[in-house]
Amino acid sequence: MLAQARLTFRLHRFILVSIAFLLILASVAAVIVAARFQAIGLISSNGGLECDAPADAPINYCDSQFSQWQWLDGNMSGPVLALLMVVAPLSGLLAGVGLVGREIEDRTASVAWSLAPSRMRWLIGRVAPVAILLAVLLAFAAVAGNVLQGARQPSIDPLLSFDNDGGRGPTLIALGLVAFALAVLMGSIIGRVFPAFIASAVIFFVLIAFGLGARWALVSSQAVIVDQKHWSGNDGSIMLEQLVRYPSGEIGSANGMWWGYDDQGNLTGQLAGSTMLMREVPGSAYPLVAGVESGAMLVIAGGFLAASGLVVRRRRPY
Amino acid sequence: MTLAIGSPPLQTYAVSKTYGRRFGRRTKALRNVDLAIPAGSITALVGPNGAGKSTLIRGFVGFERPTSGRMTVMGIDPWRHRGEAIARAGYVPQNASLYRSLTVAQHLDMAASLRRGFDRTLARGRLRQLDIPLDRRAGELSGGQQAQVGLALALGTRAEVLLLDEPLASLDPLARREFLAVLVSAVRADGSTALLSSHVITDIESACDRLVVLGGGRIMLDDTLAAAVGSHRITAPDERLAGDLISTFPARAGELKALWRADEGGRPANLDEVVLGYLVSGRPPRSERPN
Repeated sequence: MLAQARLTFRLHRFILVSIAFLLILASVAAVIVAARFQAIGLISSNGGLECDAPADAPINYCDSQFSQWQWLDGNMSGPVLALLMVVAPLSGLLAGVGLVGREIEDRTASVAWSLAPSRMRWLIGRVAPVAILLAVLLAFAAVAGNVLQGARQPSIDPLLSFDNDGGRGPTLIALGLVAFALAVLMGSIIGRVFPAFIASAVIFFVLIAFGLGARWALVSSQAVIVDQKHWSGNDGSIMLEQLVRYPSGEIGSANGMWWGYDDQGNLTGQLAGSTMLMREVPGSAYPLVAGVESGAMLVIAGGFLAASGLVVRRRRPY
Repeated sequence: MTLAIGSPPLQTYAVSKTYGRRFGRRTKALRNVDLAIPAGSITALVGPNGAGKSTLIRGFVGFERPTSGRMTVMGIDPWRHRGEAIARAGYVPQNASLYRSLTVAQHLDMAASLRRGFDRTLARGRLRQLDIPLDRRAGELSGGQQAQVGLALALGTRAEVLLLDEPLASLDPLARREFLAVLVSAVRADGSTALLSSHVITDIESACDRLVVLGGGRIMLDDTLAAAVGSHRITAPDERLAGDLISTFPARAGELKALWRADEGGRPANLDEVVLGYLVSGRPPRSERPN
């Protein structure tokens, strides 16, 4: 198996080096931006940020630090996290599409399959080393994304926050591996690298579109209702809707009602005597949601690889 | 090598293969082919493009599934029990199909990793004899050298059956001769059985001891080389056959007057004439045709 892994890396070295470069570059970019956040020197305080100016600092020191932070957050962290979210599946597609597809296209599968009494063993020898390498590289990217998220919101544990959750953490690894497995399958079916890449990309985005619906159902199932007074809006949770608890105790919507607040912060108008509520998915549900969605994606990836095995077993090597 | 008496290493039972059944454009590549390749023979499989040669050989490697009928390699159905059949066969495809970026030595490593019992020493030895550098990438080798690497991979398997799908097609005469010399010595030394498809009749004459002519997916001739030549004679012109032959091979119009399967009359045909006669006429020998 080691010999097969070595030959697989040798055969696909160009694309694997490119993918490694891409993922490491994106990961390093995330870590650098995180370091720049930390270098600004703002500290976490009561769910927000605080500037601790040195005694000899100029008078506008803190304004400058906050302004740097905001620029970094607005212009750097968002694009880098988005880059991670794009690079992960793209790497998976590029790594997977040629593993079988290129061998069929170049007709080298004829030689390999005539030598290998077990095509499954051949497939495992091709897929496993690349999948492991990809998972390791994606794990670096996933951790780098978490580091960046932790740096841009130091008061919130990134492992308990839904903010930018597609560009970091286990979801990122699973996204890359699903794309990889899909590309292996399409390469096996189509037997041509470029058409298989296009088909994989299209199917991947269709799957993501359907997957988002399922994810929303999963996320919503974890929703809780909290008093709006205890809701900060910046704690890694997902706000679903605003609700009202009427004086009768019944919970309903504030839509279509006119209302306001008095000096004491109590509701007036049609909602007088009521309490404003928030239906939210707390950040504490993130590990469960990320675990379930990553697990589901890994099961789908496993299904794609199993289907690839069936295709490879039955198809012609040309 | 274990082989039951009377059980040929390669056999087909009324095998037919039709392509494009699902899409309406049917092409019959093989039609009721009954074939038995005896153990220890080197059999030439000859026929024009589209005759079904590659389909037949690929069927033995388990790459093509017969539409009807059955094929066996050492008594094993290569489609139903592909792994077991492949473990007993070595295959050389058209155009060598090597990994251009791998060196020759890495090809041998790959073969050893895929095939239990692959004889790397044997394969290395054969390639060294031919002065093929093991550290050279396959993409940098000549066509003849690539074909030799393909053959070395097949021979290294020490398989009981060798299947060679037009490996000579793109080789120059010297490379063809060298390739066949290696093949013949290996087959004779190992006592294996080889089925070699080729267009080049003069080359197979020196290497093969049996001849199978395939035309339009049918077996037109299946005999030993000596019997195939000895049982055909060129006799009085057959207008239709002569016309076909002369229009196809005008340069040889004088000698290709007619092909006759007979014991006497006319002059003895050579192998070239026998094969060309069957290919051009597209029909089985006269003596076998119903009156």
